[in-house]
Amino acid sequence: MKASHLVVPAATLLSLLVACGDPAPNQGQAPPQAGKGPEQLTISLVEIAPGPAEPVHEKSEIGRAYADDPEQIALGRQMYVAFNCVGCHFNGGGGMGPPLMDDQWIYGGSVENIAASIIQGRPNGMPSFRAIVIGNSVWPLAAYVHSLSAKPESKSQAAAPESDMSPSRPD
Amino acid sequence: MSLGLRLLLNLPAALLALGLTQSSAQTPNGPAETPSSNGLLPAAPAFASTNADEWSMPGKNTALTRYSELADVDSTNVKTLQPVFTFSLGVNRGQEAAPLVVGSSLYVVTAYPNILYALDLSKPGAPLKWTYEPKPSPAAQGVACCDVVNRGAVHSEGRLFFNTLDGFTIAVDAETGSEIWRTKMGNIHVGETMTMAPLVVKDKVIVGNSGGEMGVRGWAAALDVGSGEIIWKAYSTGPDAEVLIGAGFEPLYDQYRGKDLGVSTWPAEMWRQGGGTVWGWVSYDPDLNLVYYGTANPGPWNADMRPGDNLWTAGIFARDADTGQARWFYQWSPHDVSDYDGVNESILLDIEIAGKQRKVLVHPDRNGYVYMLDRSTGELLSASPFAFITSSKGVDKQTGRLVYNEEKHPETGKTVKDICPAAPGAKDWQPASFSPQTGLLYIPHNNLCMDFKASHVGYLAGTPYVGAEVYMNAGPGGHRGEFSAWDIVSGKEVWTINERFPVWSGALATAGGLVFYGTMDGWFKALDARSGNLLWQFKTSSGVIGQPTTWRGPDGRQCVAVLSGVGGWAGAIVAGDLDPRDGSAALGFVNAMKDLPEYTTKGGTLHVFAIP
Repeated sequence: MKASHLVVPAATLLSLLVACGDPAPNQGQAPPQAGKGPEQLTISLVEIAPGPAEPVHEKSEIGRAYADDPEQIALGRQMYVAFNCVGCHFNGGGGMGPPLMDDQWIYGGSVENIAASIIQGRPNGMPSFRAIVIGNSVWPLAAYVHSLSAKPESKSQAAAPESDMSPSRPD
Repeated sequence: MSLGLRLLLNLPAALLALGLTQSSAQTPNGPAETPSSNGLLPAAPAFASTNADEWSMPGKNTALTRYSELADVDSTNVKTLQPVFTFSLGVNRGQEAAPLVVGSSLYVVTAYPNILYALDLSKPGAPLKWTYEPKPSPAAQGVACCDVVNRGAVHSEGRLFFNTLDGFTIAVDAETGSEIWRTKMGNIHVGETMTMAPLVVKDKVIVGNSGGEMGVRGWAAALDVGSGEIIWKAYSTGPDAEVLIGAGFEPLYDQYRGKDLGVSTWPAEMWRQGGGTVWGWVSYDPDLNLVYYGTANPGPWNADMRPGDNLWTAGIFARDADTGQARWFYQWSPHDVSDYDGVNESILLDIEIAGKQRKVLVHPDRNGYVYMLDRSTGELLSASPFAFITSSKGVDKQTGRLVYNEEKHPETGKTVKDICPAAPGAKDWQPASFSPQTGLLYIPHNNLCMDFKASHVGYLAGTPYVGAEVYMNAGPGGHRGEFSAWDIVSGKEVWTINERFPVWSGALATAGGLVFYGTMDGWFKALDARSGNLLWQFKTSSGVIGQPTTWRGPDGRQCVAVLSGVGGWAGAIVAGDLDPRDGSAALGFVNAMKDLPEYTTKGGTLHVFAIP
């Protein structure tokens, strides 16, 4: 299998997502609005701004819809593996990269902040995935990452893959 | 009288009054007998004798014995060892370096951002002499697999040499702290970093790269000490011309003979992301003029994707120091399936075997065997298990090949349980020490097994190239680490101390009849080198994963030092604030270390001790 080690899985996903410009509609619901892409949104990484107003933070309609959509979260999990996010962040516990399953968000924990971190990269090691995760294809991925911390007290997330591994066993 | 009672009565009342107690795991297991049936001890080669008052390279000498001839601190007075001063490194990540002392200056390099400090030992409190900040790229932190560690600098002829996480080798003037040269060796865009401590060999600095989990192609290189110019560079995979395999290559075993084996033992083109990085220890024999170093795991971890022996990974090269041309090679783990990097130290010793004097190297490998090879020819002399092993059945003396246990061979999509040793091996980077006084090897090591599920992975430059979900657990007995005394000649353990956590620090042996090591919960310990009895311990501020060193200071006293500051791969859960709910985190190490945060917080401190 000559080229099997090359980015076949990621490329397949990528072509599906790019071809679909606007995300596919969920079953039984009106298609979501084609909202602003992650580069067009005005978002803030911080919660403070001088003066009386809150920092400006535009919400993504798609992002917010996907964050509650198990199908999109499942698609995001596939992207998470295909783009090797799992290699640095594992199943949310972290490693080379920080944990994603806790409630500590260095660069903001909203789905828009997560999308921006993925696209732009971040100063202490997060690479910029802009060239690989194109346009609105970031939203399922951001939705999955967002879901990892959705239930801080629970041990497993709905979208985590089934595992026949028993992670802990008595010594 | 019980052993425990005898040990208790040996402790001075003062220590008892301070509340220092022996942990119950401290009693050494095994008979405290002197080694070797024939009465002949292995010896350090003559070139391993360096100035006893100084510590100018992490291994003490190019044979890497990590043994000091200083005997002022000995088994009768070590119980009075006291802190002399501490120094905060200003960095709270895993501190693996060895403090160096040359003249009246102490030099130490920190974890990222790799600050190099010089302290003036001639003044009270060892004030800062100078600070050199290389300012590595912060992005490098995102492509370093196993905490942002640095294993130390090396001093030679008024210069200090060290590597930065973002791939620079740097020379600094030891007197002034000013940069002399820096050479870019690594490219973080493809996930390549540097963490190893260089070795100075004559007029060259030997360095190597990190990144075997990122599909980085491994290499070792020699740079000119004066200019930083690259004199030679030898890759660990690929065509012979790039691996510097040529007419002078004389491997003993058939599997290493042939053209471009660094290509043909891989599926097409996979050697380009094949790993075999060089992030561990380098040793040097000036009589043979050979440099020795190990190569790391092949990439990806999913071995199904790369059938073949995957040369020249997970093995050891002997190279001509001047040209880099390979003289011989031996592969500890052909077609490695468990991330058994071959980069651990190869300690150079002289031994009499069957009436003949042999120049050997002794190497405790990730795969669980202590190897002895003839360092002139690469002949396998012995391989003895020093840990519980399920992943292999032994080493074939005829062919030199590791004999795998096929039942523990990972398969894509399938979970294989209880592979022992786990991926960090029976021993990871943490270097052992040899005492010519006892003839024993002192091995800080792990007791870990793992469950391993391989999966297909696509290569995406700058991202991990692993393809495995791993969960590690304690090995048999439940303790996750050990500090063992090993009889090289008989290939047997003499005594061992079980520790709660992997013993991730280096070892130090001295002519005072002592061995020193540190634990991940923060204790720095001195044992009697013959019996293994605990003679002294001190609770530092954070887990100890550094390399202890010793020297004679300007005031004439012998000092012993170590860095505290937990981290490294074993301590990533603390250093990286990882989440214990995901056992697969940190390549599966988190599963075995969920309780570490209960025992230690982050830190970064130099501790120096002496007899008052």
